[in-house]
Amino acid sequence: MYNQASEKILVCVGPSPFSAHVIRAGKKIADALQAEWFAVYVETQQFSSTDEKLYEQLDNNLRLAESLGAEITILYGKQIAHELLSFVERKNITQIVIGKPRHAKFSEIWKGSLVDNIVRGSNGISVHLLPGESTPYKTKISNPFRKQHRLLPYLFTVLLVVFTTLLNMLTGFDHVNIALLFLLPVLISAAYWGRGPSILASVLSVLSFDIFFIPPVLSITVEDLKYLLSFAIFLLVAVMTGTMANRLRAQASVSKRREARTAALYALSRKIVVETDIEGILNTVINVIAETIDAETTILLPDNLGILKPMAYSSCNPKEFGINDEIASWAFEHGKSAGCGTNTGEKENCLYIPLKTEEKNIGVLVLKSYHPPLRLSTEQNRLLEAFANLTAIAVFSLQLSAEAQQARNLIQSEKLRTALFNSISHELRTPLASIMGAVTSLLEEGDLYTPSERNTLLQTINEGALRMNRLVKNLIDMARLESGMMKLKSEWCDIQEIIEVTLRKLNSVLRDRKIEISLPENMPLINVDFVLIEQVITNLIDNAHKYSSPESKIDIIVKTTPDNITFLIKNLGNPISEENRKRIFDKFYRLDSNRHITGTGLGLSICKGIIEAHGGEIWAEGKNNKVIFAFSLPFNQSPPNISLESEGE
Amino acid sequence: MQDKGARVLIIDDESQIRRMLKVALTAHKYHINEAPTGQDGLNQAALFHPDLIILDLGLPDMNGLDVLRELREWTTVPIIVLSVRESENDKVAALDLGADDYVTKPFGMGELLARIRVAIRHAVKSDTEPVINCGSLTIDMAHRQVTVDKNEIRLTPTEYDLLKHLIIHAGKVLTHRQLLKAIWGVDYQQKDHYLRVYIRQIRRKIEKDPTRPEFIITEPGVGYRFTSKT
Repeated sequence: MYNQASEKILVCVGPSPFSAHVIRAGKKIADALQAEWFAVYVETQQFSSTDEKLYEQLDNNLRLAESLGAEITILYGKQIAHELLSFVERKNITQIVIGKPRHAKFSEIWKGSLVDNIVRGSNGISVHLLPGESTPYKTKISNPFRKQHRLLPYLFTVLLVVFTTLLNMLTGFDHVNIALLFLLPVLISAAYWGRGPSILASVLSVLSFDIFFIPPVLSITVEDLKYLLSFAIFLLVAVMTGTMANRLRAQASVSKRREARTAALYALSRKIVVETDIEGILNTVINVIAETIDAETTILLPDNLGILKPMAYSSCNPKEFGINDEIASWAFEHGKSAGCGTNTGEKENCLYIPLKTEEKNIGVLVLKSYHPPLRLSTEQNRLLEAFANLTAIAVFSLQLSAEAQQARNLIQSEKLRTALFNSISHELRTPLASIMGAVTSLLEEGDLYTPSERNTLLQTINEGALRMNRLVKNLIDMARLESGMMKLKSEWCDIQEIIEVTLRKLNSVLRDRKIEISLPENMPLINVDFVLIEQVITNLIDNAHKYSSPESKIDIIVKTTPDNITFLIKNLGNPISEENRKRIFDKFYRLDSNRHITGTGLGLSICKGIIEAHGGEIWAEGKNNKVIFAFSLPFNQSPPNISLESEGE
Repeated sequence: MQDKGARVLIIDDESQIRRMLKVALTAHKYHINEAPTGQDGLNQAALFHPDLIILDLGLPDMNGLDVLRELREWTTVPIIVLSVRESENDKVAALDLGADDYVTKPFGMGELLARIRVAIRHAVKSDTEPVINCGSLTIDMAHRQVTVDKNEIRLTPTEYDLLKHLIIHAGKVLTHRQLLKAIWGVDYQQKDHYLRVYIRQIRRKIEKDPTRPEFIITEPGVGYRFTSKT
């Protein structure tokens, strides 16, 4: 671990071989100070690595820095010094290491060198300057094909100038037009082949103009010295146009690369957005990476115990992937890439890229190439890192929203628990109060009461006990329904029998209440849980009785169709509003108008649970002062046939 | 009545229930002995020579059903099982194992006393009389004749057998299995629907209001019981 109150060192990296020395020097300083260090490359428009060779060199430099333990950062901007300094400020860098080239650039004369600018803006931060060596910027190239390849543009440039000269001779333009035409090869060579050929084109054009068109023709000398000025201006214009065209070309190539990266990221993010679960996101990421990089991919996420488990993978079986768990968890814990191509576990076959967010590390992305060893360009590395970041953010936000949902559920269940608590404590205490009151009266001064008064007190106790029994039964039913312990014990049942049992059970409650039952003839048997359906009908009839005036009658109507059986219980009463018709089946939901009637708000929700467990439906209707509670049950199978015998012997 | 002075063994771990039962049953002139555990109950059953055992299925030391099974290995003493509402399966299992009746906790004392009376009477009853009168219903077993309010009812042979079986065990709950086995034989023990259909037909013939039957009472999830009000 790095020293906390620590030094932070920034090493400026460029595409020159000399940069490697700067990087090593930076590493030494970082080691000596036990400091965290950053290798930073600023990609600018004028200094973009358009040259293949330079690009490779830069790649190597960055790789070297990474392998030495630096954190690699690539910045984009117009001014290197400005970008570097703002990075320094962001990261609280305490020391800067930078190489100073031996040769000064022409532009530095008026712009000031990069080093000067940094020193000027460093505000008390120590800047280490490393004098550059006279290593040539471009090392010798041994590849003969490439040499030829590099000479070709010059050849073309020469040909172009020759062609323009011939064209000018044939057309016989005046000098101004000739000069204009000579700008053409300069522009073309600048746009296609870069600065060198464009300068060559400029020089050749001036010479050709001088020799073939300015009198004395076919001589390098000029009659009129004014032409020398013209040449100078022409040369200046040519070099400047060439440089600008060249710069444009470089910009185009840089933006092309950037565009490709942006497009890939955009494609990924667009695909991720559609996904609603983590698995979907991971699979999408894996597919996109597979399209971009020729490698097998696995994503590891920590499970509940914090152990990294493969959650998604491309074609290859994760067991054959050869994931090194130690390196994977190192990458996960430290939030740094590990495995092949890095300085941690360099000899591994796989590359481990952490999925990082600001808050925490989400998991690890593991890559293994089809043809080892896996070697990725900086560009690919950057793209992968961007993919990893995007994935991390997507997964993290999904995890967060899952957590939020969990929290919401918790609040919901907390509310329910409070409702349950209030309801139960009230419902239990009320009958308990009447029981205890009556019992203590009888215990303490039983002699005071007449036999009929004593009987009244005993009735009170009995009613209180029955009420508590009902509540306990409801609570147990609810608990069984909710815990999934309610198992249907289906058997062939006769609805008529269920009604019989219900009415007998409710006898003490209903007493002389008028109940009209209308059943179809020859009702088929139905395969349900007798006791549970009886419970539903009991609750519904009990409700009908409780919530209507005692003189009014209750109708029980059963209708059958070939598909189902419908059970309706009608009573006179205040119609239930549309809104309440659904909610009335919710746990603990009670109509405000019924507060004065005792109840737990559990009965109907138990009914709903039981009916739904049977694949049926339950609902409330109400019109013209009638309240109807109804449920239907499907005839899932036809009742078995019984061959009946005839009467008599 | 002949059950006065009968000896009742109460096997229940709840002292409150035992105390309450003891007071109530002693007041009805029963002799009471208590056992708080299954093992104790088994010992007392041998020593105390009870005329009836009240057995709670939820015991601390052993399963009530095992106690029942062990008792039934050597004694035919009537056993009434106490169970909680949620366990229809236990009730059926207890009845199939040879319990004579069950009472669901919480219960009213009147209900328990009625069951005790029926169970003891069954145990001492020798042969069934040839003619049984139950209010408006009369069954003459010598002539296989059933009348309701003096009008003869025509029953199929199976209906008659089923009704007869219920009447012989009047007051006692018979499980679906027991009835199926008795009427249709061992092969029919899983065919509940036979029973449902035949019970419905019998009710239609003997009951005034089949939705509020007087004679054949449904014991939900367990079986049927014939009640005689006489």
